Amino acid sequence: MRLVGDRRRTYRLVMLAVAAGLLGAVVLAAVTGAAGLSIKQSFAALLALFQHGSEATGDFPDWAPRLLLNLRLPRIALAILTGAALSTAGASFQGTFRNPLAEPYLLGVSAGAALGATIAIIWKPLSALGAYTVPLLAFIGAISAAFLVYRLATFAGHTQSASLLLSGVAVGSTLTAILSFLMVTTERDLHTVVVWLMGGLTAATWTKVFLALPVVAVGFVYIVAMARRMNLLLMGEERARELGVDSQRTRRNLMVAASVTTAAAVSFSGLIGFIGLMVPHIMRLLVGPDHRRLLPASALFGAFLLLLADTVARTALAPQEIPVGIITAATGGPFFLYLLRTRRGA
Amino acid sequence: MTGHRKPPHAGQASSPFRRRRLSRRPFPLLVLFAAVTLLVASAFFATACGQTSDNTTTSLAASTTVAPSTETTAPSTSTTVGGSTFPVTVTDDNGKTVTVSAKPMRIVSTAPASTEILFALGVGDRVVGVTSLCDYPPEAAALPKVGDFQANTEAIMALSPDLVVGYSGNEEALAPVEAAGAAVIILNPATLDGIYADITMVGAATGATAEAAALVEKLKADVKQVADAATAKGQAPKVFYALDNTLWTAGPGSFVDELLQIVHATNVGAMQGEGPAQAYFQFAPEQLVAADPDVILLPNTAYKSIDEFVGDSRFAQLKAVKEKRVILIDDVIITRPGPRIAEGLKKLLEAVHPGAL
Repeated sequence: MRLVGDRRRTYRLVMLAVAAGLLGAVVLAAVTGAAGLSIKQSFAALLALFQHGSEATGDFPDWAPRLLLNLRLPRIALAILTGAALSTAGASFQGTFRNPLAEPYLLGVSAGAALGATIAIIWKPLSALGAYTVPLLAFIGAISAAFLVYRLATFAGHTQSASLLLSGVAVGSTLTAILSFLMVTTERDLHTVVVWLMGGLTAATWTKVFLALPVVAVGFVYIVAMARRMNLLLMGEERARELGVDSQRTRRNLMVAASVTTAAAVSFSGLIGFIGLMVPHIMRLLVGPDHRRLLPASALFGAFLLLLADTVARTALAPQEIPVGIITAATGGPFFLYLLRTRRGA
Repeated sequence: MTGHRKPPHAGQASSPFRRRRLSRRPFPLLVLFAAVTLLVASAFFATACGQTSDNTTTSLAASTTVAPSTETTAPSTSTTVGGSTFPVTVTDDNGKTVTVSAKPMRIVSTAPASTEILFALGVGDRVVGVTSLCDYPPEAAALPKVGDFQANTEAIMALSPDLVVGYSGNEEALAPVEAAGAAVIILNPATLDGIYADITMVGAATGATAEAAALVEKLKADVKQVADAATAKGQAPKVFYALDNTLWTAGPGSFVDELLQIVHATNVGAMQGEGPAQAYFQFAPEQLVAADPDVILLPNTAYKSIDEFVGDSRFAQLKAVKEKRVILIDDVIITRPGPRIAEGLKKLLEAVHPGAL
């Protein structure tokens, strides 16, 4: 009992701390940037924007409120959305597979999205579909890859973790091979493709936020609603079945939800690594393995971490932007090694 | 569907059903294997035959190139062509001294700018190979291809050239060609003067010295005309020159910056405090909003239409967007360091100062 009480208190404390951190990161992200506004000017513009709208004037250049409204705020929103989506999906994959290496891109979502986006960038007739051709094809590619992997790993209605992992790897490398082939045969668009693959939130707009939001929100709510079942799955398939959980169906549904959530995020932000892998691990260390706590905590911390990483990405070498994927991977790699070493000892 | 999936799970290898499947399956596999083998074999033979025929031409050509070089060892047999006296010695953009022993008759170009220079000098009829990126003039595009932005050594060797006009970055691929006896000159101009120098150098190496001098004269006059017309317009608008669709732009010291100065424009990428003072760097979207340029130039190689940019809500309030001064430009003709540079400058002038000419 005492242990449970402790866990609950820790959870509240962690959530409170991360929420405060997120709020701080939002403010930090809103007042820093490459435009040459001072922090004071940015603050004034931010306040004026909320009080009088984007045409407000004051002790700042008259474009400052518009810059905040059209550039910084949608970028903050997309970072939060993407970070939360990837972390929730990562936690859900790790839970359903009982595998610490599981991550949102397990079912080939990343390779599918990358191939879809590349085709949209290279094949010009497709651009007739409008400004959102690239995210649309990335989304279709991601979902198709996940579906393909799932089908390939299913024998007689039964899906095994090992076959899923293997077909995920196999489909992933096949799609990556096609992608590499497309990249060496294109000259004009190579740069655009590489920029997309590296991932980033540079081109964030409110439209993108509002397109991704419903998908991510539905996915998140569904996954959190399944938290109790995921806990039962952790006890092993046999045990879960005894307790009345159709483990096959539960896992399938969770995989679909997590892959769709990932796909929605990836379509607008490109491939951002390590967030979905390491955030659930950090949170598991802090709030424990109970998914009812782990999932919301991961979402919140993932949002905080990606927003922080993106703020560093766009300010560290301003005006040059560092692809945010470089920052998440550079910090995530060492962290993962640390985790591996300390866990061994435990 | 499930009916078909069941058998492997049943695992009864002795059932007749299973056996039939077993005996049937290898057949298409075998056929496929045989077909692939045949295909690979025939492809191999085809290339082998192609290579042998190429080899004969190579050796023939090699012997013909050997002949003039033995001639040039005798001092009396230097020939004068179009103002150049062969053998002629030039210094290329890598600072390397290259001797062209006789009037080159089989010229290969490994860059679009080199190709354009050769054709503008009137020696296009002696060009035997270009790259797949060489799209101008039209007769160049019809020639055999020797690679794209990477030169293909074998394809070049197969054409047995006596002169290769390459571009910076081709050095490694061209080393074997040079070792085989061809003269290799590398171009890498960074300024307008560099382009003039390259035209003069290629003219000397191909025996078109007079043509080169005339071309440089004409280009200088055209550039001066553009510069005068631009200066006459008075104010210099702030111009953002996009190199791609991720806001890479040209900073101080870049070729684009020189061109923008000639057309009397203020290059936003070269403005004080706007960048890392690099020749090329990425602009932050925020910075573009803050700089609020008068004119925004988008390359037609990265943008299909200006809608992609104008429709971006981040940039909707920019002065250039509101005043409809976002212009799609033919960036190939503007930035390709070849003989059409004056033509490109005129287009740039028209975009920055409409009606100046």
